[in-house]
Amino acid sequence: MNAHHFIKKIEDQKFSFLIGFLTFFAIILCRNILESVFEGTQILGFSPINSHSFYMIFVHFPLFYISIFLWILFVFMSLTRENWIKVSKTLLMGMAVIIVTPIIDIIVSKGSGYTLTYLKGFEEFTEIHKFFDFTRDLIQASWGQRIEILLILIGGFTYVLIKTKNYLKSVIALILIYLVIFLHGVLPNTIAKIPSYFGAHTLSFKTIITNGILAIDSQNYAVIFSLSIILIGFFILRKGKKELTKKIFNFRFSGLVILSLCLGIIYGILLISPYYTFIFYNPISYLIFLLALLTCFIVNAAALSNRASVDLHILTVAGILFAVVLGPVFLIFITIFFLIKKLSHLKWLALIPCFCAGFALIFQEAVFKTIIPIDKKAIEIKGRKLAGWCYFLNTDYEQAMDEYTGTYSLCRDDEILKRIGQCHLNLGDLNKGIELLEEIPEPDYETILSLGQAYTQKGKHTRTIEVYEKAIKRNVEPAEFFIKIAQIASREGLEKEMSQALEKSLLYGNSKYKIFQIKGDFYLGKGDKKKALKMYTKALHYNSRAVKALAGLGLIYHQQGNIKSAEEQFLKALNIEPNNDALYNNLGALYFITKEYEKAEQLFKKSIKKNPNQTEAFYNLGLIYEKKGRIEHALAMYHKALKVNPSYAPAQRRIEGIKK
Amino acid sequence: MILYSIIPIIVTIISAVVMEKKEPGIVKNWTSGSRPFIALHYLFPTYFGIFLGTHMFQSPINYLDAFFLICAIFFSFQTSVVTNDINDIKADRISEKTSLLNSKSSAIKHIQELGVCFFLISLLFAFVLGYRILLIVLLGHILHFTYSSPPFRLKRFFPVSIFMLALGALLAAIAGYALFEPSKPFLSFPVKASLLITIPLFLGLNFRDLADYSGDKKTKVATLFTLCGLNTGRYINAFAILLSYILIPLIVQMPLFFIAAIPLGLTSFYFCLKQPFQENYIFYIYFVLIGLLAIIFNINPGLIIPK
Repeated sequence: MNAHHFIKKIEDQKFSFLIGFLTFFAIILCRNILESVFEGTQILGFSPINSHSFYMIFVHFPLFYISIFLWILFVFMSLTRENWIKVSKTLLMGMAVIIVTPIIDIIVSKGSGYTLTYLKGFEEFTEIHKFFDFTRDLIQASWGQRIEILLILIGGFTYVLIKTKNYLKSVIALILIYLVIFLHGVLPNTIAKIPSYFGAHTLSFKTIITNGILAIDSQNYAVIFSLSIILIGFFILRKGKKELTKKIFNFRFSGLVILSLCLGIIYGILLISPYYTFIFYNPISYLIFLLALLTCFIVNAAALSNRASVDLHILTVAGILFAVVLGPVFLIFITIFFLIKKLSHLKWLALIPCFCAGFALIFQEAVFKTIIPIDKKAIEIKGRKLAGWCYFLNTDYEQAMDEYTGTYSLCRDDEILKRIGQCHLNLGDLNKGIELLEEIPEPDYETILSLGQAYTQKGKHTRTIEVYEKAIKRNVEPAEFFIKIAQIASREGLEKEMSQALEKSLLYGNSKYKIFQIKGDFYLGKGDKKKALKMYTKALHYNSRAVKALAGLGLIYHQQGNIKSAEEQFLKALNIEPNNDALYNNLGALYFITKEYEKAEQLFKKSIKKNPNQTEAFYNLGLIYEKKGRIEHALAMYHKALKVNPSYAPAQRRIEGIKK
Repeated sequence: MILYSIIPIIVTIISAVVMEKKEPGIVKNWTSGSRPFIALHYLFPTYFGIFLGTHMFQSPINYLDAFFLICAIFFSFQTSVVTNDINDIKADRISEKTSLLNSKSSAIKHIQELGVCFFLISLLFAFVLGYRILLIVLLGHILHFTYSSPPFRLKRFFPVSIFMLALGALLAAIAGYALFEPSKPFLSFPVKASLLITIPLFLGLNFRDLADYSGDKKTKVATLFTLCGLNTGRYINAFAILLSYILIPLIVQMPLFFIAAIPLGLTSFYFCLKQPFQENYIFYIYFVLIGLLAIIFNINPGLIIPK
């Protein structure tokens, strides 16, 4: 069977739009679930169970792939001048390669689970050539991702070549497909960086992407991909189904609907703006409003379509997907709007849910309490909570604490208490933070993690283990907490306890590289460099991006006096985890030894900026100041180290030394 | 949990009542055409997964959870039966095979609705058990959907089709195991247990296609029998089943079990070649094997549980 015949066979298959869509959605879900199953740093379902995970698997990633699918479809349609239905059938079969990725990655990691990283911004465009350099590992993409993209490119090139027999067009297709994939990888982060490109640094990148009015980063990513889908969908329909685009953007039928949605949004903004002003600074907020408007157009057109027509299917699928992105409450109101339009004779009634949908964009789940502004308290709670979260993400913990404390006086909620506690911890007040977090009767994963870290910083390892053991008993991420217990036991030199915890964590499917990393740390702590080196090498055998193993190797080389190799390992590790405060501290310590004090000082400062509760970094910075003769500054740093960990003996000794 | 548990049960009852009202007798037709033996073949791995979980994590079985999981897997399998019947309607008619669609007077539309009900009920049962069990059950649905339905319709491609069925059974076992291991059940599921499920099923499940031979041939579905011819296919199938029985003692590393595996394998071999072919006897022997394995594993769980 030749390639032409093969493609023709695919094109001739008969199945409905809904079956085609379900198949594509099924492939994407399969890929997502497998990815979350095999990813070394995560657990089945990607993250500890919360709405993030749901949006990642069912909304954000599917929209990412649907958008890529449609853009490639458009490229193929434009280059081959083929009918869109035929092209989409072939493309659907081709997109099945996305299932291969997690399977390749699990094989490459020798069954141990791999670490996924994603492209970060448009600036990485210059590193494009590295993507195809298969002789080396690439931090920005796993082997599975690289092979998947390579297969899609080969498939795209071959398809256009078979259809057109024109090499130039095939090469153009290749380049365009690569650009489509690359831009999809970097687009959300690039959009989030727009204010910083214009010199505005009021809001951090993380705050923008996570604290839109939708509050979940995954939803914000989904908004961007939804708009991309609408944009390309519009072009495809202009080529294949022109009458449908006219139906969607018919202002005669949708003018009032759009007006009521806008009124709802404006009303919501007016109510919330006294408490939460960041809404205007965030570029994603505007994209959310735009998506809401377009969703309204689509749902309105769906309501006007004939029953059982393909148009209705396309519009309904699109409407549901985009409405889910905008939140469950928006989805409920837009469904009511659709049903009234479709079933009731009193069409004007549909304007009410439309108004409510606009309002729901701002107030989400609190909409029923706030839509009639009798309950001013509810509006203030929602607004201040949002503002608090925004400050929190922006690492402005004092402001965040003000907002959260104000909210807590209005509403005694464990979630708010958790954030206040975390603010205290981040501001270095460990005792108060711990006290507040301990008050939470049923702590969630995040609370347990914060509490454990706080106790560790205070040097109360037994209490940390107790906290983690409690979590395990409640079945809260046992795999994760067994590893943490093993880490503490390793640090404390408790071999038996460490082995037991590691054994249990293996039972829960933890990655082997993590086990070897911890064993390496244990032997390093015991001074057995030979065994430590062996363990770290084993960890890197399973995962070349095992940061702790790289850092461990760095420490060994450092102790052996091989400063150059040590520096190399730390830099490698920092390349993988640029936010790891301990790595900056370690590298700084290395420069301290080589008497490069300026470099070391910068790194210690960076380490403290990343984590203000870093005892060692404060202490090391104190040492630098002492070397430079800035005794007052040095004393301040030692005191800061002691504030974080009052039992930190080296800092006490230095203070006593200076006083003498 | 108890409160939520009522929801899928209520939905199941309502669905049955509504469907019965739409087409009287549809539930009865479904019960008679629901392929109970094959359903059991999916439920055994689930029990096996639960058995592994309870022994490995030394945690008692929560019988309500186990019941809900079995319901989720059972209805997931029923969804796959409906999807398969709808897509195989032509082939089943040619093979004169009894299915929900061609032997009774049920309308396709109603059968489709029944399939949607099964799908939702299975997801509801899974959801009550938690988000991660839901994901595993959903993965099972995806597997069956791509197996039966166009555009992929992987059942057309031998041996991928058989491998997918074996994978479906493995997934059912992992679902049972995941009741006890909520973190990474796929990575921590014992390798020996995976092999014990997939290899024998991969070798032994071909006989299911024998009854569909004429339909598969007409609709160009590649099976062992359409590819090798009916007679050669029969012999290969019989030898494959015998091999699947012989491999079991090797996988569990228990040579003593050859005493049971060889006679059972030879009996299956005989029934595979006996004319007229009767599928049920193969299942009966399979159930005897499962019973024996259940007794052995209960006496000595160390045979299958990693130390």
